[in-house]
Amino acid sequence: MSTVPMPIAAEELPPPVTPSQRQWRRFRRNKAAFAGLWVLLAMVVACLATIPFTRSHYATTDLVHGRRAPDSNAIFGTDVLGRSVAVRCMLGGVISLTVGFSAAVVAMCLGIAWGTAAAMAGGRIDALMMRIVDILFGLPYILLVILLKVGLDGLLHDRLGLGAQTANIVVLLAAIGGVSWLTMARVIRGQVLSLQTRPFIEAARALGLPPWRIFLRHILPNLTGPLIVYASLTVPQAILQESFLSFLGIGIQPPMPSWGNLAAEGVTAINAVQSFWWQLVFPCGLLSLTLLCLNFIGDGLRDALDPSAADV
Amino acid sequence: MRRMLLSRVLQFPLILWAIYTITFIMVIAVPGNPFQAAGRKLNPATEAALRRRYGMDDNWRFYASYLNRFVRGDLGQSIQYESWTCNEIIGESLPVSMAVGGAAMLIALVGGLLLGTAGAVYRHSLIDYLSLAIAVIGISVPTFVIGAILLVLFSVTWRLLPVGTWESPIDLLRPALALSLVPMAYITRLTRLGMIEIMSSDFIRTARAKGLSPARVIFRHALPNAVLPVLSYLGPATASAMTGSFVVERVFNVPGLGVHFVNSVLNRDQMLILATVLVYSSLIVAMNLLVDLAYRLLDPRMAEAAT
Amino acid sequence: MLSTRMKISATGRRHKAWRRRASIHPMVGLALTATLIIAAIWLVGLAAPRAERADLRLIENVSIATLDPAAVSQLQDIRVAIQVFEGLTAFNPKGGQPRHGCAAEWSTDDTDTKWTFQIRPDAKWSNGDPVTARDFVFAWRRAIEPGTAKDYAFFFEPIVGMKPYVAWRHEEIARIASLPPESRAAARDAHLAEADRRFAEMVALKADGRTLSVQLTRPIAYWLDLLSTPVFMPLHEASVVPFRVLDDAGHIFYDPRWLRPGVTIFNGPYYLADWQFKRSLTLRANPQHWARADLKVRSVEILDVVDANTAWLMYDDGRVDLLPSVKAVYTPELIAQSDSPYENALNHARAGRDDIHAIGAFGTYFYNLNCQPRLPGGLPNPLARPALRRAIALAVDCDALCRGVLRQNEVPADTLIPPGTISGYPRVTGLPFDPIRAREELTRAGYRSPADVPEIVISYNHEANHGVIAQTVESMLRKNLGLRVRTEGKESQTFSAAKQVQNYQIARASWYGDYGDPTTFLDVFTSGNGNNDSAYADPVYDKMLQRAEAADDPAERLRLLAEAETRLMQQTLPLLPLYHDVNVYAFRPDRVRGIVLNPRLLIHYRDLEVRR
Repeated sequence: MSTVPMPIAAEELPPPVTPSQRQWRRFRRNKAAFAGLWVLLAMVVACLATIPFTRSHYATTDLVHGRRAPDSNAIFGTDVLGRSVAVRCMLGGVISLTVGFSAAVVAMCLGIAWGTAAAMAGGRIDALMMRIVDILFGLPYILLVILLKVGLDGLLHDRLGLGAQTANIVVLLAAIGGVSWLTMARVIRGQVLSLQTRPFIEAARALGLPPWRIFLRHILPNLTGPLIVYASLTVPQAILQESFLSFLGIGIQPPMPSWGNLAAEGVTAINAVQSFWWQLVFPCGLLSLTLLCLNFIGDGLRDALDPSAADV
Repeated sequence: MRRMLLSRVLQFPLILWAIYTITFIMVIAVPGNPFQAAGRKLNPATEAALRRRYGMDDNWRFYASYLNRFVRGDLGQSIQYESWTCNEIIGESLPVSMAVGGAAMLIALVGGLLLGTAGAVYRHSLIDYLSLAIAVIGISVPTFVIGAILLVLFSVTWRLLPVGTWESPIDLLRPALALSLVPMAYITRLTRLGMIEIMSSDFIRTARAKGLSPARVIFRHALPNAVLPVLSYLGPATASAMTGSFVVERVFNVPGLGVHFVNSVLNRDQMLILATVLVYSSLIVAMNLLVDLAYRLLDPRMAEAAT
Repeated sequence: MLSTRMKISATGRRHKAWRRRASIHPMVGLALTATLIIAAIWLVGLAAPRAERADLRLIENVSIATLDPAAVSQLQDIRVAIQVFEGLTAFNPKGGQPRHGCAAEWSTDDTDTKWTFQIRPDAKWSNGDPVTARDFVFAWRRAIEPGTAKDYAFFFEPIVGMKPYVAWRHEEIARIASLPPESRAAARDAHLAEADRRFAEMVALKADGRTLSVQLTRPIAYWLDLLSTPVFMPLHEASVVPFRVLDDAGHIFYDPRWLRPGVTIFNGPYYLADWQFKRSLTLRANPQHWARADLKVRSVEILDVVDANTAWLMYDDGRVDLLPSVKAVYTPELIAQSDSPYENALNHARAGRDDIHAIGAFGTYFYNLNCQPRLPGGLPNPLARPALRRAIALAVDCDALCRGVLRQNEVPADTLIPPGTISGYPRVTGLPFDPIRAREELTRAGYRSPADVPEIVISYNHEANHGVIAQTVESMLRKNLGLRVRTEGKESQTFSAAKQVQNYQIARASWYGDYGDPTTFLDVFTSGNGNNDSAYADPVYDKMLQRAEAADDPAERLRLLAEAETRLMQQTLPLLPLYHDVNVYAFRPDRVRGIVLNPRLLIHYRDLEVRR
């Protein structure tokens, strides 16, 4: 009898691995990204869970106990008005992360819309739209943000009657999102352009599918990779930009805290004569930790979702 | 290629004009009176006279006349710094900003390329972690914190460098260092990732198989290709660094353009805003053009892709 | 060989294609660029000539914007203007009567309205020309002419004929501007010739060689003090007139380049030797000044450093001798150190320091309370009720604010005018901190409970510690009165714009006196005054001020003014006073001698001596 390898029964085969599972496993292998994910989740949960408490206590001043170093009463110390730095850091985290993620979402939507429209339209319209992106790139970002902020502030406050603090946050994320979408538009356009040359898109077109359907069912799913990666890189940028605006005084207004304006206050507390280090170290430390995690996660996502990056 | 070059150069004034129009609209639309210093109220007759003087009494006239002036090289008269013309202000502070920005980009480029390459070549070693650490600090710590800490470290704790003056080349070092950390972080990352990708590609394996020394492989064959994404990041990064980082200039008392620009926006000094935006944008658009050119020179694939 | 070549991948092909196309290796290209950048940096960025160290080096925190006497209004500009220009009188740091400036002597008639000044024979411009009365007439006329008139043009209103002349000029300019463009030029020239004639006729300001005579509409107790302010300083006509620029309607402008080192002619103890925009100003001793022999400080360098921390470090390092204003976050610590031995955060232990000097300034920090019946949105304004304003004033503990938050020995304020700064002015008291009385006033305002009061917003701009102060006041009002209060920070320009149209409820403000008389503060709250941001309109108050002006006896006048201020600070409260400002100087007394601290914060550098 000839030895023929026995076919293995279907039940004994290991279950098929879907592409997304494969991606998840690649992501998990990247230790930095995986750890970053857990740390970020822990921080987000901590910040969100303490909201009921921090919401009511972030502005409680105590002039007698101002500027105390960390001790049993206040684990992160107190600032000049006696407010607990720990409470403000927690609430500040919520605000900063909200601004960061929302601004990234705004940027993403604008970028996808613009980039896809340009790529699918092609020809002169494409050139015009990309020129507009070039022009907007040429405008100084700070001018755009300040003007957007001042203009929108009035609009939201007077016309829509939103509370001042809500309006402030909305305007801020609109302004930051409004200047961050440009890179995304360029990237998306490049991706869609290269996708359009692929055979399966040509086939879809030959079949007579309308453009919006091609976009939704065929192009968009293939964009998720670069989208997620760039989005995860936009969030930390947005948070940094918020901190810069707070340094200028036009970011989140006190007494509402954000890591940005807490760091800006903290910077004035470290100087030649005195050193209230806790006012700078804690907010800045949390900010940096979050940004780090986001960047590692972004890197990990890129490695996981982009199959051409070989395992080295 | 030549046609592309020509068309881009011809588009340059059009782009500038578009930028001017958008900025003009924004500047006019925002509430706030450029002639009003905080505190004392200005007599309406005085304000009307001043508006006439600067040609700002009618928006259309202002739009046309300013463009006219700009083309002839006259950037106008600053409103908040009434003794100075915009030409003088920008003429004195732009070179300073460019010096700091140029030095910062230089440090970032050299440091980033070296660290990124070292990190890619000696993966998972100490150098790799050092390069990652630099990348990390640059990306995650805001510039004003870096600047403040550097100031305290260099000038107070260690008493190494003098502070506040602008007299000798040493004064350039600290603001340039503070400004360079963020681009250095990006360049390190980009280089490192690019090198990792390139080093595993076929032609490098061929070069190694041919028996070339590792240094030659890295510097002659791998790095030039890995540098491409760095280049496309360089263009806008250099332009923005050169026109001054507000934070760094303020913290280290550098008489550069960034501070004036932000102040002019906050004080609604419309003349200086328009002047600065036009100068700044010219620089950025020119820089982008140069980078595109360099990119096409280095990567023929881009030359083939139609614009 | 063949097979190797065939194995080269697409990337290799790209690499080869590149090598064929360009002839520069990218690394070489980068190196070239780097060299170019370094060369550019060296040549351009640091091309600053090294000058020898000035006798006196100081730092101003705010940039010097202008030195034009007609336009100077910010304190740091005034501080420099009084060094390079000299008026008839000069500010006296020791208080009391102003010193002699250019004027050797002056006299007045019985009515105290006709003044005659004799200019010193040895008063000279920096190019040797003598200072004549015509220089004063030229400068004073320039300060009121449409085109150059600025914030302090109103100082000239008491001179007979000035107001009608200026009104006439504005009328004519409006008339010419409405003419068709072709006929404007001729009309303007005719008008300007007429203006010269009318000025000579209408305005009671006469120059005769070295004699200047002025006729006032009414006696002004502080006239000599006014004359020491920069707007009354002379200008060298021959060197300024060439920069004259006329517009087609008759405004007279001047190209700003008349004010540059080497171009402008000065008559003060110093002249402007160098001015680098936003970097530094250098003053040198004026060789033609009549007091040049006594001048010990022969050169002054004024550095422009915005960041307070950097400024302090430069002083601590010894790079500058004087900080006219220490505004760092740690200034309270510095003040504390000046009283007792200390060890600072970096372990540089020193005995109690003697180089920190604090002086009460001639200015008050307060909150404007909007007195209009309705807010711009149409809603009724709760603060229109004086009783509510009184309640708010009674509920704020200024002492705790000064001790707990500000900590620079600021004086808690219950009045508008800093007490003790004007000699002969009676003591005025305002409302104390009294939460119980505050509640009573609340009831008197018509609110049965604090919850009935609509939400009140405190506006401020994002500078210095306005935000911290606003948050403190907000929490005080909440705790002591139970009001619903919110703070709102705005960007400076938006804040100013909103304030001017009374689009606020409570807004932060401060006021510094321009001259040594109570009217510099009290006039602000008269009806219709341009700086009356509270829109406070009180006929009783206006009449009280008018009566004071009509009084003959100076002591009686001050008493009537004090009554007016009492009404303001005890009954009607258009403002909520918080504290009287404190200015902190830093200089070593053994090194910089001759500084006499005064509330107006002015120093004549010619009085100083610097020892190393």
